[in-house]
Amino acid sequence: MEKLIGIIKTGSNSEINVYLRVKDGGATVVFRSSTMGVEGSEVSFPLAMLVELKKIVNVLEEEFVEKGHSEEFETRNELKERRQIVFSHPSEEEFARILDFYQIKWEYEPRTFPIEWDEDGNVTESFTPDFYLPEQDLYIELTTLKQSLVTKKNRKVRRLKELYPDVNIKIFYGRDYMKLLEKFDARKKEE
Amino acid sequence: MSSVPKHLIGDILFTEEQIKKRVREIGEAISRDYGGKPLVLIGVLRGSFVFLADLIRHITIPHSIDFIAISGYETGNRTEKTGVVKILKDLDENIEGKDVLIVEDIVDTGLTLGYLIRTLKTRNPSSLKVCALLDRKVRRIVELPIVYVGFEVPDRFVIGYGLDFKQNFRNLPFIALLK
Repeated sequence: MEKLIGIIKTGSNSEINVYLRVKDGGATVVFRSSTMGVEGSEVSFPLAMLVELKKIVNVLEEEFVEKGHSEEFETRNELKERRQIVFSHPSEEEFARILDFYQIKWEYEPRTFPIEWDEDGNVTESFTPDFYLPEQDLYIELTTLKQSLVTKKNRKVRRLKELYPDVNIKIFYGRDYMKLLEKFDARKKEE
Repeated sequence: MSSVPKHLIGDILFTEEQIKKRVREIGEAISRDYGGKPLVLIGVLRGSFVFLADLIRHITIPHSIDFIAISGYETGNRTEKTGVVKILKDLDENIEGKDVLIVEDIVDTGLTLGYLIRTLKTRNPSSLKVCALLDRKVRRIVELPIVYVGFEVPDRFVIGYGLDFKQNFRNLPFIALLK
């Protein structure tokens, strides 16, 4: 099943139609060229790699600015400063603030790891750890409160460790972590 | 003045005797490892002062002590910028060219100590290592050169022997869980 989710006009008679294709339980984003209403060649990528696509778009945006094509930004840094990181959960935002406080360099969701493939080799499941600390070469995953999500994440982290043994990752259970910080905070505030 | 909330004292993790024995062992190890070289012990305020006071009584080589205090992160302030960690009380001694051992009460994520190590390294000590009474490894984010460890502790809040909760319990001779 395909659902048209967007049309990118590329010329007076040409466009790229963007579809979400759901097939055999897997979801794919399809870019298909169209000239005068007749569809032609296509490029597709697994929906599971969406975060990677976002990252590529960010890089393309920066290149666009760097080459002087942007009317909005003059420099790459200007763009980066304006680009707001949208955290998925308040605990992630708090964690980022803690890292900033202690002057630890961090990147938010910089890499997606494919962890499951179908018989044709297409990625059906991926995992994007919340943070990467380049100086520590460490990925960090914060969990939410929902036990069902914790179980799912634990499984993903286990799978990631199996497939990528060289990748260092730690999982922090959000509630416990924030609880500890509150106590830590209580200890320090009194001083 | 309100009374000490004794009902918050949970299970004892390490008794007074266990702590005494371990502190003596660490003191002896430090004396052995540093040989005759003069050593600067830096206590991180405030939690480490009890441990440091007992520890130096088992160190038999020449040494001096100094203290440092740094600000901690405060949670819950989501609308304002929290800024960055700061030194609240700096060292009185110059540590350039000296062997330095940071003495901590408890190492957790390593964020605080990591900052401290980065800062002190810029002062060019001859060596810079860490001695921690308690190590809560499970939460470590920043790896650190911890050479001497008293005890490993579980992922729980602990009190006693210098470690407080709202300024209470530092005077306990043992280390216990906070209820």
